[in-house]
This record gives sequence, C-alpha cells and structure tokens, in this order.
Amino acid sequence: MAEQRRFLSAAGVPIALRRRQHSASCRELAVRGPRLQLRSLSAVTSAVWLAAYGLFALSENSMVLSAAIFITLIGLIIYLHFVKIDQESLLVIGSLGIQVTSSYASGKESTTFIEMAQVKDVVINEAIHMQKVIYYLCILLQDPEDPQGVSEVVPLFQFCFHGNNLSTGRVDSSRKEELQATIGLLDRSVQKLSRDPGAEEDSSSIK
Amino acid sequence: MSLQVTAMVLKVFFPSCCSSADSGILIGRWISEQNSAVVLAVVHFPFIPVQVKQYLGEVQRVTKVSVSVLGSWSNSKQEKEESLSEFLEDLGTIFCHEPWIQISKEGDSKFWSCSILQKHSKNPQEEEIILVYYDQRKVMLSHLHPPLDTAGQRAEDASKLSAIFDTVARSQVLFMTDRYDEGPIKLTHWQSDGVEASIIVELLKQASVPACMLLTFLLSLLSGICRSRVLKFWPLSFLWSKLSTCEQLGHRLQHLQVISSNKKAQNQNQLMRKANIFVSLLIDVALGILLMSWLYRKNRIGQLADTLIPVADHVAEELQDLLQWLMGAPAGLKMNRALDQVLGRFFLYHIHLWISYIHLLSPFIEMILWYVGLSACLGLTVALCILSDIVALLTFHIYCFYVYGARLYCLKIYGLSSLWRLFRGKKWNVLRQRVDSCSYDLDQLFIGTLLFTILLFLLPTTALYYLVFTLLRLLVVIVQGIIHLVVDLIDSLPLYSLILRLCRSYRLAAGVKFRVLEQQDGKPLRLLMQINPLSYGRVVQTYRLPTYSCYPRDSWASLCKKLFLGELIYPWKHKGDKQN
Repeated sequence: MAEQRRFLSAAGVPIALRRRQHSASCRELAVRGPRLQLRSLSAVTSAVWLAAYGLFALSENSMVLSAAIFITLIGLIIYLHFVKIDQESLLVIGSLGIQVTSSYASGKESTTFIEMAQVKDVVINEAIHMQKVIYYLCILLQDPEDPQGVSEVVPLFQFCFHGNNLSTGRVDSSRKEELQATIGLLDRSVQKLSRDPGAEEDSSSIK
Repeated sequence: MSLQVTAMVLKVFFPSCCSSADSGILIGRWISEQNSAVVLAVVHFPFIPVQVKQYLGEVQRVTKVSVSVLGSWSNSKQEKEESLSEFLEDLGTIFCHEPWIQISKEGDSKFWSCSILQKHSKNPQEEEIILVYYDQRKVMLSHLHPPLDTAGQRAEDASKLSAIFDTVARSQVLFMTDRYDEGPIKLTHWQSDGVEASIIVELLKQASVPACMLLTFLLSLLSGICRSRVLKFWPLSFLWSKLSTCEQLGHRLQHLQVISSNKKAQNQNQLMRKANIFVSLLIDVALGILLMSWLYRKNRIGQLADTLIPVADHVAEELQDLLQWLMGAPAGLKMNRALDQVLGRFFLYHIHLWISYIHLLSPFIEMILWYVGLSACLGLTVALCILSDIVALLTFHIYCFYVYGARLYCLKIYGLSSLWRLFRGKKWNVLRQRVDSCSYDLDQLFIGTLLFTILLFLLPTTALYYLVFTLLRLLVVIVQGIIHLVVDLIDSLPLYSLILRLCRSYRLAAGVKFRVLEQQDGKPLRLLMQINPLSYGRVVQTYRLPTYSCYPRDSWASLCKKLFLGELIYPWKHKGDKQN
C-alpha cells in the first residue's frame, strides 16, 4: 500500500517521496527532506564559539562566552521549531478536500485543510526566484465572488523542493490577469486532481 | 466527470461520544448536495415510531434543522444475530429515508461495517463510505473563522464544513435533555456534566443588571456635561483636543458605554468585542491601582517632585551651554557672526524666562503631582497619558525653539526658491498654478539677485539652529511616541480572545484537520476530524480593538521632505508619527 521513491530536489538534495493509498478515494503523499546534518550543526556551533572566544581574548569579558552559549541555544530552538521542515505531506480525500501538513524538526505540525469546493485547479506554476526560473506545484483557490477568478495560490512542497519559502500569496487584481495568462499557457500541464491523480508524480519528476 | 466522482463517496459524520451507545437508530441531518450525513444522536430500543416522529418534528420546529432518521446503529457485544439485521432493515421501511445507512459494531472492534440501502437505486454500484468521527462538544462550541456575516441564509451555500458546524451548533437544544430524564425516548449524545451553579455567579448575574443601569445613567449624565456648551468655547476646546489625557478619558468613556449598554450582543463578534473591552479595562485599572499603591508608599511622590525640578533645571542649563557653543564657532564652522549673536541671544532670553517660570512653579509641583497621581486609579493608560502630557509641558521651551527655527528656516527656503526663479527669468503664476516665464526690469533683477545672495549666505546659520532644535524636538517626540505605543497596546490588545485561544483553543477555529485512523480492508475509511485552532497572529488581527489615534501615518519619505522644507511636524496630536 505504501511505496517509497527517491529523488533529487531542485537544489540537488536527496528527498524521498512516499505514497500511501488509504482507500480508493483517499491517498497521502509525503515528501521527506534531508535530515539535520550533525556535521553542519557542529560546524555552525564551533564557528560561533570560536568567534566568541576570539572576542573574549580581545575584550577579556566573560559575558561574551555566556552570551554565545545562549545565542547558540536559542538559535537552535528557533531553527528547529520554526525553520527546519522535516516532512511535508499532502492528504487528498476525495470529495472532501486536500490537507497540507508540514511537520517541523521539533515535532510541531502546521496543517491547513482546503475544501474541495474551494479548489479551482491544481497547476504547475513557474516563477522567477533570484536569478533562476523555478517550477512549483500549487493549488489555485476559487474566488467566492467571481467564479472565474483565483483568490489565492497555495504552493505545495515548497520547502522540500526549493529550500525557500514562497509564502502563500494573495492575488491582487492587477496580478490576476497575469496569472490567468500563465494558467492559459500551462493549460496542457493542468490536470484535475480528481480526474488524474498523477499530477503529483509530474511535479516530483521536476528536478 | 468530477461531479460523478464526488457522488460516489458518502460521508458519515459520527460523534465519537456515541461509539459505545446501545443499538438503536441514528438521527441527524442529511445534506444531500454534499452527499453527507451528520449524525447527531442515537435513539435506543425500544421506542414507538410515532413518538420518535413526533419528537423529531418538535426538534425541527425549535432548531430549524431538518433532523430525520438516517439509519440504524447496532452495537452487538456477541456475534451478529441474523434476526436483528433483518429487523434493522425493516426499520428502513418505517422511517423512509433515502439512503438508509446501517452501521454495525461488533464486540470491541474498532472497525465498523457500514452499508447503504437504496430502494430506488439508479446506479447499483457500491458507494464508498467515509466515516468521520467528530467531537460533538468541541464542534458545537467552536466558532469557525472567518465568521459569516449573515449566518441564516449563507450558511447553506457557503463551504461544506460551515454547514456541518452550523448543523451541530444549531441543534444545541437537542443536547439539553438530561441523561436521566425519563422521557418516552432515550437518546445518546454529548452530555454536559450538568450546569455548574455557584451562588456567587448567580448573585453577580442578578446584580449586574441594576449595576449596568446605574452605570448607563451616570455615563449619560457625564457625557451630557462633556457635550454642554460651557466647554465648547475656544480656549477650552483647544486645550481638550491637545491633551492626550482627555482623549484617553473620552475613549474609556465610550468603552464603558459599550459594556454597560443593556442591548444584547447580536453575534459572536460583538460579544467578543464586549468581553475584550471588559478584560482590557479590568487589567488597565488593576495595573493603575498597582502603580498607585507603589507611588503613595514611602513618600515616593515627594522624592519624584524633588528630582523633577533639578532635572528640568539641568535640561535648561544644558540648553544654555549648547546655545553658547552655537554662538561661537560650532564644530569649526564659520557662521555669520551678527545673525548668530542675534539668534543666540533671543533663545537665551527664552531660556531665562523658562527657568524663572519653573522656579515660580516649584513649590506647588509636589501638590500637583499628588493630585494627578490619584488619577492612576482610572487606569494605567490614563496615568501614562498624563505622564506624556507632563513631558510635553516640561519641554515646552524645546518646542518653542523648534517652531522659531522651523519658521525662520522655512521662510528662507521659500524666499530662496522664489528668488532662484527670478534669477532664471521665471515666476510663479498664482492664477494658473504653474511657472511662467517673465521679463524682469533691470532694477528688479539687481535687487532680487542681491537678496538671493544675502539669503544664501545666511542660510547655513539658520540651518544649523534649525537642525539642532529639530533633533531635540525629535527626541521628545520619540519619548512621547513610545508612551503612546504602550497606551495603544493596552487599549487594543484583545486579551479575552487570547486567553480563550490559550485555554480553550477549539473555541476559535480556523478550520479542521483530518487524521487517518488505522483501517482494515473491506471496512470503510475512518477519519478523525479535529479542530484547527486559529493562530495567535490571526486572533490579534481579527479581534483587535480600534484605538482613537487613527492619525494618517506619515511615510518616512514625506516626513523627510517636511523636515527638509522646514514645515512643522504636528507635534501635539500626531505624536506617534515618528514611530512607524
């Protein structure tokens, strides 16, 4: 029922995609990013402490050392609790909705549930980020006032794919036409989730 | 195509408290457009069908939810008996409902079997069933965000979830019947453990009505006095509008009026607003009384007054030193000596006046502070506003210097700009609001150029004075801005909502989340519906109380432009501008 496949993310980091079929209408896709590396953690810690020791040697104030310890601890807690995402999963329940869950390294989970009536489409969108064009899977939400309009774009698997945060963007009216033009261009890649659940596979093959 | 797919799946929302109920029939609401059934309660055997129908009609009349019999529920401790299943199917003919849902639980098994009977079935293929467990109490009490404006008609066509939440919340009457009531029919549903009654709470409830009426009367009297004509004359009304204490008092008066009005809150939002205002008022007054008890112990007021006068003196002395420095050659700059001396003397005389004023005031300052300190019992925010006003009054000389400097500087800048136009053979056309070319006489050009040169060479001296006093003014404004930021924070923080979010996180729901429970082949999919609480940021955003200082915020660019052109930055009312 559960199968696991390995891919490389856009940044070249190994990620694992796990698919589980709970029932005919309910399936779960989970992308697990790389775990926290002990090497990088210890490198950062020792860098901070060496810098603190250098300052201590210069200023001969022991406050610097205790401040460094505190900074490392608080920084680690913040990193684990708010930044580092371990796994992102997508639970698709037929005729009920889509649930997006991201679990942080500290165990905190943040969940949003999108009802099926709200989902307008699932598309692969492209965006310019820094100096490169990136592709990402996103859910377009229906605008309640305007049946043709898109009220919000919810990017999926953002952390595992790109390692950066494309925050959920509200679409203002000027950007709406632009976005709809993009959707028109991408019409071939547009796949209704309920019609063809293979849409997620496409996105995972983008590397 | 997608419509067909959705029609295949049938969702049964089952209250988790009914999972151990005895066998019986399921009653609830069938939402046909979503193909889902919301089970509200289980009616146990034995019952008389006519009585059940009567009861359901009564419930429907009160709650306005179309409650009906949805199917049967069998909870057999032993193996399933053949006769019972037949009996359950027969029940479907008595209570005709389409489709007829049959849920049966065997022993202590977690996996229930669930089947659908459709007599007039068009598509004989088997429908997939999803069992969704929900916590009846939490769903009933929770309040889905964003709230609907008109709950009545829009709940139907709004999202599916809000329809389910609405159904459970509206059938609250159904849950009122007690477990021990010996009625004609026995139900299982969520049970409160009885309403907790305490004498103090009851007494408070009884006392609150006359207290509110008295408060309303007093408040109307007070606002009547405030609105009377005596206070509308020019000097007084001007003073009221400039003192932040008066504004804060007016703001609190409005709050008290909101709380004490005996109109019932129409919807959840107004109720929350009232509760938030009440809690914020309570905390404010508590903090104020704490401050007061600290101030009046050990003669702290006297100590404060003793330090206040020397501090004001010291500030004046520092200013004198600064002026002396500016009158020489500040930072090695060579100023226009005559203008420098004139300006410096003018400001020095002002400081002299100020010092004598302070010394005149010094014997009374302790008394004034003592009486002003009493106002802290009205709340910490009022005390803070008074502090801000005192700071404004004690730094009045800095404000005056700033205004003089700014006016002088502004005059120079405008003069220079108009003479610069003359220099280029142009002038400002007032009628057309634009710059036109103009041919000047030789005398005009000569005088204009001369004046331009004089103004240009005098500009650095005035600009220096302006710069120094603007910096001092900004310092005072920033201090006042910080005080007002704290006042705004206490005024606008929705403490009740935050406490509710902390202690009863399900009350403020942002939505739901589902967890897939373990399952068996051939048995329906089991999901657990949990309530996703609103994040703290959203709580503050939704329930923030409006504050009175809704000034149009200056952007940083317009502020810099104003500073450069020497226009006055409004110092009294819009103190917070400099703070983001």
